[in-house]
Amino acid sequence: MKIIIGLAALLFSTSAVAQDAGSVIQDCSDCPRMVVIPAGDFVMGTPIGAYEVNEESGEGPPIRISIRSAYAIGETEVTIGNFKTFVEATGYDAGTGCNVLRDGNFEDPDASWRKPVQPRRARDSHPVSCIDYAASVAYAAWLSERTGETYRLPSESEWEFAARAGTTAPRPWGANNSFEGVSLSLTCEHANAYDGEAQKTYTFPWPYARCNDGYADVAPVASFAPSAYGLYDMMGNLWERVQDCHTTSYWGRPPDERAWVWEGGCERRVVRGGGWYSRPTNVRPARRASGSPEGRGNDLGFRLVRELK
Amino acid sequence: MYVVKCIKGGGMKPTAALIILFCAFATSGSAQVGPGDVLADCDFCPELVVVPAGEFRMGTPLGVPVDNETGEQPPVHMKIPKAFAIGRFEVTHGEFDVFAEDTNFEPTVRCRVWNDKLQRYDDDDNRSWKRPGVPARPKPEHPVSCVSWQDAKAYVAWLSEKTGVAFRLPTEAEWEYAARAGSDVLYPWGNNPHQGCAWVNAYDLDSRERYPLAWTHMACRDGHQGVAPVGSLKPNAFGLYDMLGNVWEFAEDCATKSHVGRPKDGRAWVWEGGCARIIQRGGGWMTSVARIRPGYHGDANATHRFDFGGFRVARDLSTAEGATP
Repeated sequence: MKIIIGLAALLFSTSAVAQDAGSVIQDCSDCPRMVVIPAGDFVMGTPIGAYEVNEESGEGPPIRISIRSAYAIGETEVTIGNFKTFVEATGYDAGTGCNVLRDGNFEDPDASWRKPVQPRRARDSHPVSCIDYAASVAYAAWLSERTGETYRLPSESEWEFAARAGTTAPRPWGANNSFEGVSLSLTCEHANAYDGEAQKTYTFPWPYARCNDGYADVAPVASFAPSAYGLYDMMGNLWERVQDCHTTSYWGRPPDERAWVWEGGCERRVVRGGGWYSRPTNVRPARRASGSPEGRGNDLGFRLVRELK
Repeated sequence: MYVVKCIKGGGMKPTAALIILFCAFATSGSAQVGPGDVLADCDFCPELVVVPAGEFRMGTPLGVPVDNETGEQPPVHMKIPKAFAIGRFEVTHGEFDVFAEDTNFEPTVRCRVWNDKLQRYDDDDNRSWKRPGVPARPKPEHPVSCVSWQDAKAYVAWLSEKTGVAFRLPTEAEWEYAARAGSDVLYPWGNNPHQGCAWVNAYDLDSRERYPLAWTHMACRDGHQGVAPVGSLKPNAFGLYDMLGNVWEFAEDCATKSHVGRPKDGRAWVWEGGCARIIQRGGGWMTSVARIRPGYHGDANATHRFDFGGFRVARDLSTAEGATP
């Protein structure tokens, strides 16, 4: 009896250690690595009028959010390698047709998560893109069934809390916090956005970060510096889907870790973090955009949350 | 379920006697109804008016100067796919009394009322829907006030159970559509707020004499210093009374400050898991002219009661009444 109690205590303490903030959980060898994020309070959003923020982004009014319990979030965006294990195990058809950059057009009926066009040679270490909302939910469901844990898309508040990693400035990487018009060289160390390198290959009519991050388009995950929480590419590389329905005010949102979802569903859901051809203004923890659940793009992927017991 | 198609009457007051007078010999059962028809589902039911299906611009165009913080800009294109029925009047004291007696509804005290000493609204533990203060002695024809959204929901649930007809609160989109009654400017009568006294019991010259306040009054006289018996003023183009003014009216919707992302088909916009604050529409007898607009929305905690806050009911039409299945 004593031994059993001792063992139980040992098991309990082990799992408690494993769930300390910053620790990494990996439920199977080809499961995504999940980083434990502490519970805590933060202010989500950006004061209206405080910065050069597109008002339509709906980052205001800022709202105090209480993340009531710790959770784990993907260390990186879900990779092509991760998604491949799911497709091979289940035969899931994620479909074809994706918004990519080809000959000045966006729509490519032949592009798919296996062939997202950018990057030209998609490897297992690249983040998976060109999949719709349903595919990301299906992947999470499969992972949950396989591991006995609960995997799901993050709520918007969980996403921003993780992306801020305790910071309150427009960008988490230090003092270089202006929006456009000044040097944004630090962006290139922390986020794969529209930068000097991307601008050489892809011409867009919006500003680019005046630095060179070494990637013209999508980078393998974790190619850039991690955040204080040990997370990679929260900003940049791919926009990331969250559960929340999209509107342009935080007023009335649940003031906690729950997703804000309408009864009867919604036409557009929030996407976060900015992608490899996003202007620097959009590569911030508070920045919001939206996408239709059916839409596919090679600048749009996801990372998952794993609930802690 | 039984439905009585009443004779379309002008300026009719919702007393039981009148309803019986007008409705007693009307056809019942599977009567087709059309826009403007007045319905009464039982002798203690609020009268309803059939409002046609249609489309409208919900909210207010960008660039139009309005009282901000409302989220009415930018507007959204809204469809009301089916004709529906909405209260011809705000729910009255007389109607609410039937519910209260039948259910032993607690006349919960505590209502937010205008406090003359403090010169602001304040919770008063001596006030309830039975004794809202204004009016001092509510008549059956006065709109019920000092009722919360939850009270209003309890009333429609009770009424549905009593009648077998699914009563509900209007959705915010239905409400604005009904209040606009085909108009797409700031006020149903045009852009000049000071021409509204024929239709609207709000903060006007009369109210200002009794309550001299800082906020903007309608520079006209509606004939009422406080709350008025329902139907005291002129109806709108849909035949609805007091959509603007008299008492604020709850909608079914949760409250936020944007229309972006809301359902575009007239459904209520409600969060999964519920919400703390509920949309309130139309303004009351002491509301500034800045807020007495079909496009303006206020909000309230679901359990709070106000002497300026009541509601009206709505329901879908049955297939027998001509609703497309």
